[in-house]
Amino acid sequence: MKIKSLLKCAFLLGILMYANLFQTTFALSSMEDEEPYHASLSTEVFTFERNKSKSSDFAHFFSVQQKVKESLITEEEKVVFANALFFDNESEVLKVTAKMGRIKLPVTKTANSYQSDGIFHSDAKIYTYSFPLSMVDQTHCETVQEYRDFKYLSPVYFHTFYAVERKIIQVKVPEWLEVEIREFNFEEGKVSKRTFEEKGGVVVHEFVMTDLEARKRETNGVGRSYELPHIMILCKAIEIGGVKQTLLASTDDLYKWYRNLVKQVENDPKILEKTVEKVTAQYSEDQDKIEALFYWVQDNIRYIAFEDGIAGFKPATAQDVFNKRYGDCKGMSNLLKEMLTIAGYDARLTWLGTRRIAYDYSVPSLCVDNHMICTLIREEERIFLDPTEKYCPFGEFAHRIQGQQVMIEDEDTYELAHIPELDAEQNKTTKKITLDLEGVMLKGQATYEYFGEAKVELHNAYHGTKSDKKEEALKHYLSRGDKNRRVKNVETKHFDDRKKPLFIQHDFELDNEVMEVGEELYVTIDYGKMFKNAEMEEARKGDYAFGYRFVDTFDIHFNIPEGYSVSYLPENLDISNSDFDFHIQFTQHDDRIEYHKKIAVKSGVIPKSSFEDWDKAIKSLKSVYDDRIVLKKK
Amino acid sequence: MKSIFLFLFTIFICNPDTLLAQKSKKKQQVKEGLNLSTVNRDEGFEVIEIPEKWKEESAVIICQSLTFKYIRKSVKKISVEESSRKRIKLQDKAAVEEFSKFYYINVPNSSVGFKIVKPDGREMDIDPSESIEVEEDIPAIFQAYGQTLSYKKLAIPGLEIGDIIDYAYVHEEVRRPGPAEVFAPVIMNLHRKYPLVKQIVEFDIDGGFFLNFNSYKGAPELVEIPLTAEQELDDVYWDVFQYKFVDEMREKEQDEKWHFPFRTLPTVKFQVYYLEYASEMQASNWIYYLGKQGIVHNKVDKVDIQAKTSTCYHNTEVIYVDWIQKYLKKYHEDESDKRKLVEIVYYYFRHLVTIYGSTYNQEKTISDLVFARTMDVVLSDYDIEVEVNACVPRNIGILEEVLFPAELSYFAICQLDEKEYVLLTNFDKFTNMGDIPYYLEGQEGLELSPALARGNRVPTTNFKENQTHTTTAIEFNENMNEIKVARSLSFKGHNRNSEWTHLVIDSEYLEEDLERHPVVIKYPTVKAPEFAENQKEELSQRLEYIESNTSRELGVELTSYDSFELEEDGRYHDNPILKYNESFTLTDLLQKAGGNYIVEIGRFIGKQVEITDDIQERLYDIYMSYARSFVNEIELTIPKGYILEGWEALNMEVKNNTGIFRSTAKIEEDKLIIDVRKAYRNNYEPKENWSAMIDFLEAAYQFSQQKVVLKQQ
Repeated sequence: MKIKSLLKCAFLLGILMYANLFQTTFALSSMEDEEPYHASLSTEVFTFERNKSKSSDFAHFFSVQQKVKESLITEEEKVVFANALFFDNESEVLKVTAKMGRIKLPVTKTANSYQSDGIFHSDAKIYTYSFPLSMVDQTHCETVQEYRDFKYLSPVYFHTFYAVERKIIQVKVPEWLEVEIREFNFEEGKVSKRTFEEKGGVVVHEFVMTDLEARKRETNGVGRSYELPHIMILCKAIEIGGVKQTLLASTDDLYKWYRNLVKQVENDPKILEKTVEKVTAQYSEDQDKIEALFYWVQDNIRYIAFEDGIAGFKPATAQDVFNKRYGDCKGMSNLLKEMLTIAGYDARLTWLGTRRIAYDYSVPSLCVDNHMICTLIREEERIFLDPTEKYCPFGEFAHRIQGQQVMIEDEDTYELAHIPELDAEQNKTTKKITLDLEGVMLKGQATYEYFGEAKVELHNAYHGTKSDKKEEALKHYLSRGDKNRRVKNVETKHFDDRKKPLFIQHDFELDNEVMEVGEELYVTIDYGKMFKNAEMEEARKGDYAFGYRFVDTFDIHFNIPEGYSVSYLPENLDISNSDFDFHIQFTQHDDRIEYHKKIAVKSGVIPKSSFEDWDKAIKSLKSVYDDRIVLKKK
Repeated sequence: MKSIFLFLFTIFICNPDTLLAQKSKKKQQVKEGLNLSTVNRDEGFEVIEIPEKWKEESAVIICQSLTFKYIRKSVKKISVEESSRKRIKLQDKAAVEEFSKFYYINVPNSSVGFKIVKPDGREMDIDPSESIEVEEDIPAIFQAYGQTLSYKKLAIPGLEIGDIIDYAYVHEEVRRPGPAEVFAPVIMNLHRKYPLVKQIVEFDIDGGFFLNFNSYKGAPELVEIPLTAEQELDDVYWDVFQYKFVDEMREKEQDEKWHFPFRTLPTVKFQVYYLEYASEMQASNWIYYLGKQGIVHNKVDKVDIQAKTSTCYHNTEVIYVDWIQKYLKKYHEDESDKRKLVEIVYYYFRHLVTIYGSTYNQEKTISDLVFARTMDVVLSDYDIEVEVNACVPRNIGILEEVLFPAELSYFAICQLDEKEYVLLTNFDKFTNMGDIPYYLEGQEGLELSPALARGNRVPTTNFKENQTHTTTAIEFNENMNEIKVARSLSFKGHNRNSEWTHLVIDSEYLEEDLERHPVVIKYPTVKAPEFAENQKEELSQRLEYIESNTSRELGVELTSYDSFELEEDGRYHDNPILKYNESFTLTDLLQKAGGNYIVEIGRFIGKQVEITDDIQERLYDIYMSYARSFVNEIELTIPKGYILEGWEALNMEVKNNTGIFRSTAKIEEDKLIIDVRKAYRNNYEPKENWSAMIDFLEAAYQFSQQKVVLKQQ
């Protein structure tokens, strides 16, 4: 079955409806249709050219050209091939041509600025091009792109959004350049490699893959750097006038470059001193002061990212972020660091790649990180503070940075460490419900408790909702917009305290879940039916990543109405593997039925290899949901 | 400013934020750093506090102004200045987030300015130097109505909860006017997204301009403001008139289902015209209702509508006439039946425009007046009198409240003999002869010839004429874990409207249509192969649509969608039913209970309107598109070895003057047979009838929740 529904139940549906925070969706779908064309051959060649640069930056002594030639085939009429190249201030698209035989085809080209999610402004641009394909013959397309600074070279993937019969990647390294080619996700025997020498001492590293299926971006993917084979071209050193000059040869060199940028940031502590004093004045304990400053930045600085050229790597000054009340991760971390420093603590800027990036700092490349946080150092303890994570309490970390390697600044040197991984229990949601039957209407009292990411998510949705809509949105969320479920007497606790678990208590009336026929009552007590119909989409090719790992428990205490006894209970369910647990247990007592359900996604990811197990488990889950308790008049 | 004539037939239904939008597409910088007090100095823009009753609102508009200045600078130059200013108090995080990334229009001859006012009264000017040009992803609240424009965006620095954001925008153009200029008409209700303390609309016009303005449904009146002595001495060529409209303490807008805001909420309408004195005659091809220059015109007489429209009507292009006449001569020379002739002309004309004149994916359309005039000229040869009527769509208002021509639609009455007539309206490729757009139903038509003024009211269709009839056959597989469903759906009347474009593919009827309507002269030929080439993709898109539509309608995931067949396309009035058959498999509506099965039988009538606790009370009168009905005949085959229980509860009936919900169920042999009828009797109900509507809507909802039990024998 192809599922396009919400997954982790319609978790924030009610609130999201009002808050327009649709980024937190859990759709299991995403694959678009296959393209009506494929490439019989795709050759991607990287060459390096020396420039006559007088810059002191050795990066500008040479440029990198990426030339892609493809032979495209279609078996359908009226097919247009459309593709895009990305470029920015440090790169350029030099050529895009298409030919059929000797006939040059008209290519439609446009270049526009490219806005990715969450980035207010960047220098990223998108160059789209398209041309018609013919059934008669192959169409040959050639694109040439130039990188003026090798540091901005992206990883090179074999796969693209259409199928390719044979993909060849060649990296032609001249004598004057030292290049390391790092291989990722090369499965045994799938990529053939060879190295040979061309004229002029150019060493060619060639990689060939055949029969590549089309791979498109899938929603809730884990990140293609985990799944697809690719290479990274690391330019380590250049020979200038017979002298070898280091480029980015090691993690030390990478840090040196970052450090150089950070040194240019001139924070002015005077502007911040009064606020630091005011924020910390009421506290005497270090812990309280640190927390107060961490929360002040979370609460008072809006995340607005500018990634225009070097601004993508260099933090804005602390006073700039403070005055504007907005900044990106670097600016917010730099402000927090400066405020903590003013308060007398040892705080450091810290680089890291979020969970979507598969690399660690053993790779000397700008591709290894995409985020910055602040690390507080207290004796031997490293406390990681991410001020961009609104409502995240001190000592907890967002799933997206857990387990990631970090590079912590330390003057001219640095320290590598890891952010701890927290288990699924940290993000648990518990729901305790008592149900009574009144006629054929169920009346319930419910207490929901949220921890970790589940709590942060709800905080964000709630606080992002307009004041006059909060109550309505909360009711809508609790009833999941179901007319049959009337929510009353909602009480919440700790929306004003991110450190404590969130409580939501409410009463409700539930219609149409009980059917009376003759002397029998057919009753459904698990009205939420989390993950019903949540099978994976058949066409999905990659792992499915939830926003975080989690455990949700439901305990329903159903009081058997007087004069009735239980004549049938659905079967229990117990499925457990390394990726997920589905557990349902009905326990019958004289006067009540206890229903316990636990659903856990242990790592936050369902790997493709487990899809079959997952779908089977979902079917079993559904069959329990679709089985009713039968009560019979005594 | 781009030719304003473009907007002649478009009403700007807008809010003041986006009104100043009719600018050029040229990429040119807006000037930043506008001094806000030069835009409007009303004391409302000094206010910091908001009324106590709105303390819990997300944001409150403290004051907003719209100012229009139309002044002749010399004999050959006019100055058009439009400006707005808005002051909003942001009271929670959501409001701060909404305004923290601010977008504004980036066009020539315009200026923008911002400031933040802190709760203690400190004012902070915003430096717009870091603003960025942007063309896409403009949030709706900042989007200009009408054309795609260039924008700039600015991250507003220092914005916090409790702040007031105050911003203004001015656009001014001095240019040589055309002989007749019709500025964009505006219709605007006075409620906004946030509650509003004060809003002002001002006009400064000199004696060369005409201003039509009126207030409706309790909106305040526009009043003339005497000029100050200083203004009297201003260096202008002609007298200037000042008008102002002030509205105060307006609650935020409330969404309600089936609501026409312009029929119920305080609304104002306005439009400005300019005519060179000597060239009024040149403007006779345009319809305009003018008062006196410089003086507000707030009432358009029906005679004026008739006279002006009539002039324009008789000058309307009739390029299709020749082709239709040639066709009639060649193929229908002997036809004398007047009704038949109207039919032949209508469908040939429809074919010429929407099929023969169109290209793939681009259906050609014509104006109502071109339609009526062409029918008029062609049919006059056959002694069929055609009278064109002006009419206001239901969502806009009524004939007595017309203020500008863009409010009007037109239809034609073809008088066949003394008693018999056919009412015709402009077509699309699906409409049948005699179909009347639902938005004109019940509205008064005004005949253009005063002598004939009969005050025709457009007929209103009844619920039986607009009907969806569904027959559903339900069976179970052997393992009792799947439901096999076969449905046949037929639509008539307006119920076809939303289905046609998804269900009927051009290439399916194109060949037959081309054969049926031979073209007698050269004309840009329809590229039939182009339609055929795209058929495969269209078939697949249709299947995808219909599968998801069925799934959405029933509110279930389909296990598989097994077949689809379009039986009738309903494109001609002699066979007006749109009909298709489909079959699919479900698992979702079947549950177990021990050895028995529960079937959610009620769900087969589709999702029903849900009247939740919060919408039990009705604020405004109920305006629906049209009266309509839905018939569901359901037949469930009881599998061998089971008996059916619980079906008696499927018998329901609620009938009142607003609607009907009636269901009857019976067992015949091994079948459960249910007949379900639901009807909305009228297209309008006063709000007092809401509880009666709830009665039958709730009955329908409760039916949709009904279940039956298959008990093992």
